[in-house]
Amino acid sequence: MRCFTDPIYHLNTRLQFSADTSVHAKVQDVQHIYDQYAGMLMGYIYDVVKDHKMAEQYLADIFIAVAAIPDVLKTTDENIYCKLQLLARKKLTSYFDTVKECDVNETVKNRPNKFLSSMNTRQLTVFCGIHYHGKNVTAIAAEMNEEEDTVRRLLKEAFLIIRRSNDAGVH
Amino acid sequence: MMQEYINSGILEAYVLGCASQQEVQEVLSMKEKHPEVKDALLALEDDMEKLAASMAIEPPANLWPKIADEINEITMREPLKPQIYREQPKQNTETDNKSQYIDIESEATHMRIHKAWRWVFAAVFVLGKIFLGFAIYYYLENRQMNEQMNELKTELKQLKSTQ
Repeated sequence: MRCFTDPIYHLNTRLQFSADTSVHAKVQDVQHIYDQYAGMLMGYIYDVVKDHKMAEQYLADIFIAVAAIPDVLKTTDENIYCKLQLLARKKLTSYFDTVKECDVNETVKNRPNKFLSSMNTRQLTVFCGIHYHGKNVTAIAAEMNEEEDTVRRLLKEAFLIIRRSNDAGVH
Repeated sequence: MMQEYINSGILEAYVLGCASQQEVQEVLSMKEKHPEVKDALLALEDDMEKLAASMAIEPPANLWPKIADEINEITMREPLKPQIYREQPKQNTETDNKSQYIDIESEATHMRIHKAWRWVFAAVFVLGKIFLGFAIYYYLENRQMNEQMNELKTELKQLKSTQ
């Protein structure tokens, strides 16, 4: 049995304490991000999967994955929400593959939103196709029988509408 | 030229995560070189965040404790590196590899096992109690039978002696 004055005893205690502290710190870091962004991410995932239980499961998986990232998204010049959204998009890849058709009206009807309702059908098709259905520019261009540059331009317009709607809301 | 690049829609595709690997590399390179591209990206990310905030759904209150438990479990399962040694600069690279490690495992008095084993332990405990109950019951019954046999033997002896 080790004595309390034994240096090895203290070493073990310190290591154990260090491990517990590191786990606690990691959970706290993730919780801080969760408190700020879980609602936004849940909204996005729900709009993709349209099922609360499934959205919760995806949300949990994403934050568990976040814990595995070194320094838990501690960057100052990057938008943490966008990083989380990209992580969500990656997790949803297999789900995107199961969804064949994109009904743009359904997205707007289910959860009316000032940003989406200001877009025309073509802009909505591009934005929803990419954002909520995980498609890429090439796939949408093929579906719409348009050039990829046109799809990118429509995407740009969709973002401008989001910005204008937001500015209008602010002022 | 730069404004043309910003207006091309490639930055929007990058922010939504649908840009190709080549486009991603291109955007990252442009972001490093041109502050106006970096500003445009930050503005687009801000737009996305605002859209998400307007469509947020509050997750149920019991979700975070589940996530925290899972993170704790995963983190504890990972092999832990002693931090105080990790932080030290590398010295004496020629020394024997064995001397760089300290025997920590052998000093630990606790072991970590999977949660599923608690049901096995509970079953063993309950079965143990049942067997103990049976053992006490049969012991008492056996003792009672022995007493009865002794009484019968005594009665038989008394009967024989009276005859």
